[in-house]
Amino acid sequence: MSAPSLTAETLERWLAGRTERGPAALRARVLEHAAAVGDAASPAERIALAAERVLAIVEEHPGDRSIALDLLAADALITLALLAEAETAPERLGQFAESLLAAERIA
Amino acid sequence: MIDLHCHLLPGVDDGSRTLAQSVAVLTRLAEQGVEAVCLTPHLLASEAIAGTPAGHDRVFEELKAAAPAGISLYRGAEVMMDRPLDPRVGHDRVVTLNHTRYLLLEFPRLVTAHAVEQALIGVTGAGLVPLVAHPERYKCVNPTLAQRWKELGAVLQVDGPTLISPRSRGDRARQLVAHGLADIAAADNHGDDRSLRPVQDALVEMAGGQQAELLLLANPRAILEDRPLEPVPPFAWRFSIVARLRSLLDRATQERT
Repeated sequence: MSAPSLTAETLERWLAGRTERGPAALRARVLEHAAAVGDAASPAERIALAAERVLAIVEEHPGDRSIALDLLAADALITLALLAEAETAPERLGQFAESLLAAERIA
Repeated sequence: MIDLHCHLLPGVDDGSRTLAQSVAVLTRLAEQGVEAVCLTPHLLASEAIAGTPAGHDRVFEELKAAAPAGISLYRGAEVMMDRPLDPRVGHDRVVTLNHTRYLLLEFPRLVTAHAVEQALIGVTGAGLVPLVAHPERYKCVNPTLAQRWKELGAVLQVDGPTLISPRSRGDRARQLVAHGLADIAAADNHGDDRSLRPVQDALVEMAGGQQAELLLLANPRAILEDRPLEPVPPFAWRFSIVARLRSLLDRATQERT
């Protein structure tokens, strides 16, 4: 099993590079949520953890349109988590994707 | 698994159209681990005192003769409460589930909480236990109201496939299970592919083996044997991150339209 080549230190830069074509408000929210999460087992796990936290916030505010951007951010973060895993540990991509589809994620 | 709510008596309501269709569904259900089903064709409360239509007996015998081995067939009805129940239905027990005290009943989707309460009082007054079909279908339902219905003597049958649906009706069904208010789950098969198997798989995957056992087997069996039901412990749903996102996006789409 190869070690992730994307370190936590470079994660923000990686995220900024992968989101630069996105809408500015959404991009800012994605980066904000990702930055709020501490260390994780891998960059992809860190992004997925950010997505989970955002989802929990959205779920606590059903019908609140003011957090629509957070919902879109969660969607983007899950996609980015998969992209990070594909780039850093492609041999584990299937396992990682399955963990996102499992009832209880084990990071 | 035992499924107490289906429309597989062929050609009598909006469910299965033919004997072959019913046999195909029953064969698939048996392969999935369903050991018994109760056939519950639609019936109006205003007609319940007359019992099931005579033609149903012949169709039932034909289906029983053609049904695959390994799945037992029982009879009942899904009674639409279009008027108060005639108390004599409680004495005859012709349209109850397997002639027990349990009567499967439904209401119009926009029914008021008051109308449901009056109906439940009438059914229990007739000496029966009202088994409310798919309570999540009614807009007025919430855990507090469902608790009130149970205090009036009702037991609740949530729709199994709805339990694992991302839609808002699924949220209401899951809330009932989360609060330990659902007593059984059933698939309400209409000659299609609805089944309890995915529900069992989902509950077990979420560490809900005990709830699956009670909702899908033990309590349905108790109903068929005319016994009281076991309480189902509250259940903490644990959906995947992707399922949660899908549910939220789906809900947001519904709210926008």
